[in-house]
Amino acid sequence: MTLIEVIANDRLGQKVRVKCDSDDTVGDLKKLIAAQTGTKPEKIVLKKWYTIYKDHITLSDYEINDGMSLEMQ
Amino acid sequence: MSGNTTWKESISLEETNKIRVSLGLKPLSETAAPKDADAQAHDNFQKRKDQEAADRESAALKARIDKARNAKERARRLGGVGLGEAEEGEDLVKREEGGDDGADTKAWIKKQKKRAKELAAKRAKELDEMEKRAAEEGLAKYGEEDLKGIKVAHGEDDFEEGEETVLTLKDSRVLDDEDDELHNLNISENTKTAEALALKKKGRTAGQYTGYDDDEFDPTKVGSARGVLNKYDEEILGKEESGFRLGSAPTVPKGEKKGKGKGKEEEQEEKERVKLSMDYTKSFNTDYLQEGDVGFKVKKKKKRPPTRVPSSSLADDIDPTAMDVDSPATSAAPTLTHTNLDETNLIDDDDLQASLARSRREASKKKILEMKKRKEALAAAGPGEGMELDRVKEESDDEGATGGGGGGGGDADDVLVLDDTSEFVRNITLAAAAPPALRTNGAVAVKKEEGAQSVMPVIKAEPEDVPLAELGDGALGGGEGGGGWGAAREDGEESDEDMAMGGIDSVVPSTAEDVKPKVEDDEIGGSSGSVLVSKGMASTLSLLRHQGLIVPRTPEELERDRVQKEREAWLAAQRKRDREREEEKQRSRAAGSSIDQQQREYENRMREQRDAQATLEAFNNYKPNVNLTYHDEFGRDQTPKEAWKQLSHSFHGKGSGSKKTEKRLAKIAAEQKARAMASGDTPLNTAAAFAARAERTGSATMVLSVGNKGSAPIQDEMLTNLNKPKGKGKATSSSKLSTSNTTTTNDSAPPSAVFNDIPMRPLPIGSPSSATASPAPRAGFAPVRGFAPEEPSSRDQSPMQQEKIAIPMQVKRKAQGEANGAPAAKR
Repeated sequence: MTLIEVIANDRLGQKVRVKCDSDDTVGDLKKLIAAQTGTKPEKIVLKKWYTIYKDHITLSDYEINDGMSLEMQ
Repeated sequence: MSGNTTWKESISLEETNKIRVSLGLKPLSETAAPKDADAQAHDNFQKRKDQEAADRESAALKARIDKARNAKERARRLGGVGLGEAEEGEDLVKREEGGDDGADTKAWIKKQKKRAKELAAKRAKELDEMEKRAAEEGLAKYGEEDLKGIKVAHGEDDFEEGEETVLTLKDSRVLDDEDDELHNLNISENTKTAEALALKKKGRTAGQYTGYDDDEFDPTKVGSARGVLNKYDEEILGKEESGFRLGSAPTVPKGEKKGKGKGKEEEQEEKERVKLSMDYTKSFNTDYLQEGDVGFKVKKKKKRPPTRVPSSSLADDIDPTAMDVDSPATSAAPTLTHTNLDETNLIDDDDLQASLARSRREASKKKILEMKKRKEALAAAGPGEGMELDRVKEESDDEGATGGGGGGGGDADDVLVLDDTSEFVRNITLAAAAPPALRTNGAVAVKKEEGAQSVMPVIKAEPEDVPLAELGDGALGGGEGGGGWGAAREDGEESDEDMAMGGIDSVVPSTAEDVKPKVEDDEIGGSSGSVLVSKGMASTLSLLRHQGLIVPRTPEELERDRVQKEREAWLAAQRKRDREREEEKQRSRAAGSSIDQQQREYENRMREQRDAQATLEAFNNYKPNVNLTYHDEFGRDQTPKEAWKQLSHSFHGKGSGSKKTEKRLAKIAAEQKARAMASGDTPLNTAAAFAARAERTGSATMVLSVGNKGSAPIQDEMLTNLNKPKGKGKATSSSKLSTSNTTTTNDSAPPSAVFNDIPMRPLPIGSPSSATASPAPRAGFAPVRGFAPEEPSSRDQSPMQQEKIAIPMQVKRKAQGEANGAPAAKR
């Protein structure tokens, strides 16, 4: 249960820094990103290289730590 | 990392929290910010360090406390004055006297001396007191008396005089309840070493049997029986113990005893005493029962009767010199031997038996020789009388034999000797006599026919054989003479019968074997075919054989036939055996109620065993004769090729085509025709036709073709004969021609081909075979017309004319078409 900041970046001009909890799920993170960017959360796909993060798994389980950047589509 | 200004999208914590709440997530807190891991680690390390320091301090404190306590304790224990410490009193005195250090030392020494004196006195006093006390109390001292009777493990020699030896109690088991024993460790070690050395000196042979009795030999024990080898002494008698008891009288050990004179003498005396006792019987132990033992039996010796006596008497009797005398003397001998033999037990002595047999054989041989001689002499005197005499003599001999007794001994008197030599000789003579006897059969028979009663055998190869056989008939009716002679007799009888049979044969020389060939010859000689068929089966068969329709049987076939017959006989026997077996089974089943299960099972088993054996024997000569033959629908024998073809056709359901079938049928028809034809003729009876023509024309020749064209000759007379009734002139001309009996020269053209080798035998034209099975013409040919013989039309003709039967005949046939098998015509 720690406050982390995750950077989500689609390479098309949107780059957001999101404060979230390490216990949050990927789905929660998507909602936060959506709230921040003004898109629909179900349209967001988060991935790192070829790994697409699934919604029901927490950030700590994916070992997403403070300051990490994710690719957003 | 760029700063906050670059991050437009980054929002503050409060805004984030607002969003989170709106999303239904719990808000984030600043306090819950993550602590630095390094700081935490540092904290932990610091904490740990502090704790360790505290622990160390407390441990040091504790150690100091303990040290202090120990020191205190030590100080409490060590009371009194130490060496270095001056006595308080002295110190006080010194201080009082005020002496310096040198004087002080001197004083100390003095004092020490004084103290020593005091101590010595004190000690002496104490000792005295102690002694006094001991004396007073009379305390029992452990001394020489207490050790009395205690065992010492060593011999007395082991202790040397004037030397102190410390003996200790030997270790012993508590439970063994042994006496206390004293020993010196050194001495016992020494003895052990000495023993080991002694063993080593013997080397490998230590404790082994060497074969020499050097060790065994003991001069003191001469004459006494040693039990076992001395290497077993230790095991049996136990280890020799050298020891003594304290305070007891000095005992003389065994080894020492030997050395002492008196002991030795005594021992020797004892030995002598043992040696001189003469009671040997006790020492000999036998496994046999002795007289006086329980169950001891004495076998009484049987007295054997003197056996040589009869043999000697017999030898006397059968003295070769005495054998020249006549029959009375020989008849006397057997009675003697008989009585003697009755008395003695013959089976007792094999040698005696052998010698007896030998002498008997010799005697009988002599006798036979003698008889032969006599008989020859008699035969020379007169044949009839000789026979008579012979018979008389034999009868008398027989009587003598029967009177002599029917026992085995009686054989000696008889001339019948049954041993291998005599049998052999007899067989040879019989074999030699048999053929000549057969040869002379004719003569004998002739004599018989003439009525001569005195039959004197011409051949005298075995003169006494037949008489002897007869004699056997008479005398040995009871079968005493033995099987060999019985057989011989049978042989003789057989020869007699043979002679009679031979006689008959010669008298009537018309038995089947002799006559048959002639008859057959006759038949074959006059083989005019169908004439004989009417006579019967035999003639028919002979005809068929002559025609080649029945192939004469080869030896192989005969052999096969014989085997077949054997096999049939065997099969019959087998069937009979089976039936018998079945009957037996039925019988046993019927009797099943009376016998119990076990018995029945046993019988069944035995029967099965027997059956198996019988079957095995029956199949000993089992040679099955397998001969596969195939027949077609007409019953003809098929060759393998034909058989295969038929099989193939039937298998495939498709036969040969119409052409082939036709061909085959034609072939079969031709075969049948060939079979039906007369033996000397062609299937179309051409020969018969020729013969008829020859008879009619009176010429043995016939012109087949004339000229280069090969046209048929024009025979006017034949044509005229055909066309009109015979005229007289023509007939005479023809007769003239026939009488001339030369080769025909009717035509101007010379005949190109002339048949003059046609058999002139008149063929049976009207025979049933030719009449019934008139052969069909060959394919492609028209039937011959006008073939039937013409009856003489006019009755009024002269017999001369009647005999000349003219047969019209059309020789040339008109070809209707190409024959099937004909070669292609040349163009």
